[in-house]
Amino acid sequence: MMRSFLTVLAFFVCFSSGAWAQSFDKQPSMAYIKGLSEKVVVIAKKEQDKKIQDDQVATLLNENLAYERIARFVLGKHWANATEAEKKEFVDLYAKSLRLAYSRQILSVDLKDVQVYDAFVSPQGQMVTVKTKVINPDSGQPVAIDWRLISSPEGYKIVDVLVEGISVASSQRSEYASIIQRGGGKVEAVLIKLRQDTQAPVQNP
Amino acid sequence: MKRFSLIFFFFVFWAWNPAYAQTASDQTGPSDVCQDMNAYDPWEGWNRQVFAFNLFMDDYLIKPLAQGYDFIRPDFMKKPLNNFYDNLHEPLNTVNNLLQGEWKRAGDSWTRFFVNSTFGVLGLFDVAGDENVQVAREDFGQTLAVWGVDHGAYFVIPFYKPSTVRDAFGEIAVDGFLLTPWYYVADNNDAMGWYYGRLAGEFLEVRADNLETFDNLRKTAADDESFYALIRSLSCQKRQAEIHNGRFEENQSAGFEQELFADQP
Repeated sequence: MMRSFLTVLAFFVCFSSGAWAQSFDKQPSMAYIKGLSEKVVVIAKKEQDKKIQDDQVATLLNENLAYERIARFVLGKHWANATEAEKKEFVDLYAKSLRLAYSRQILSVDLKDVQVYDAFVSPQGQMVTVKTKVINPDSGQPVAIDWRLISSPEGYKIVDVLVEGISVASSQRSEYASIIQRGGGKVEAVLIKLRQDTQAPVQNP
Repeated sequence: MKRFSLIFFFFVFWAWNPAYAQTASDQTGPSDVCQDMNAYDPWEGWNRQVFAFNLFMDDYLIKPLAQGYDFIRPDFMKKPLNNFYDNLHEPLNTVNNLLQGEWKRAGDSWTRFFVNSTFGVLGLFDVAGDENVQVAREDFGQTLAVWGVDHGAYFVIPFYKPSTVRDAFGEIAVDGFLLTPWYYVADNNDAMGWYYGRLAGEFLEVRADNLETFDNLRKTAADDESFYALIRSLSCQKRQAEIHNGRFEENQSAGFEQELFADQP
């Protein structure tokens, strides 16, 4: 009994690790995240005008976030019901709101000692999750940050960030669903909120 | 009965952390649990009302108290006080880790309690953490989840963090009365005042530590109605992460990936 169990186990381990190695090389995605955090460190370090700093982070976000893919996800089933004009406005405003919300936050995280320690490919093979740890300067404790990436013709793009297992995209999707539901099922309800959120003077790259 | 209600009252105070509150679980994969909120929240009408009540009480009572406390608390005491309260949880962490078969984490929790209570001066200093023995926080709600008990309905309770039926039972009734040693210690020494004081103190400490986080989070929501949805999603995901001790990501990715490429059959 024990022997057959071990045989099955051995077979499973060989098979799965073999399949893994063939289909997925962790290194490029991990190197991508490492490279990205180094770029942020360089921007954060330079003593320069806040405005220029924000512009540089915004450019970095534009180059590395798959805005449209994320926008579709956060709208969920309501994406299909939106008109073309609504979709376009939503993607633009959503991208703008992300830049607004995260430019400062990214610079405030100490990415100098980021530990990029693992990566895995998702079940359908269309997404890679890179696992990292950064130290929270307040508590001194490590914080788990996972980056979900997809491939594009220009290389990797980020589709989601998980902080201690909490997905930013999933949280927004849930919130937007609630706004749309109470707005009578109309995507316009979310557009109104995003227009308000992005009204503040924002630096467009 | 009077004692029960008093303890209940303070216990809910103690564990309430509005910024990153917790909730539910499932053994099959968090993506399913936290994406279908209609199934997760069958008592939405009641929950929304209590949530509004909690926000109201926070605006006019709890937050002002926490701000006052934050003002008089010296900055250098923040870390030691957090350590102190964390240390009081270590016996519960130990027991729940044992009940979940997490032997190493149970050992870590007990080591932390022993080392920090002695060398760490009653837990004020995290000596064990400096030696890389990290916190492995567990509660009986998580233990039940590991034993296969379903999370039950999402449950918002007055003065308490967002929870579920299972977790509220586990954390309030079991952890609060049966498993925590401090209840027995206080009870046997006629010192229940200290017991309640500690719960109230920790509640205030947590709220004061999250003043800015909570405000920022609330600001991101369009209004309090969508703030409810945001907190529900955050608490569900947070709880999943806690139950699986951060090891579920592979599982969770499946649902996310499917939804991400929903337009590509």
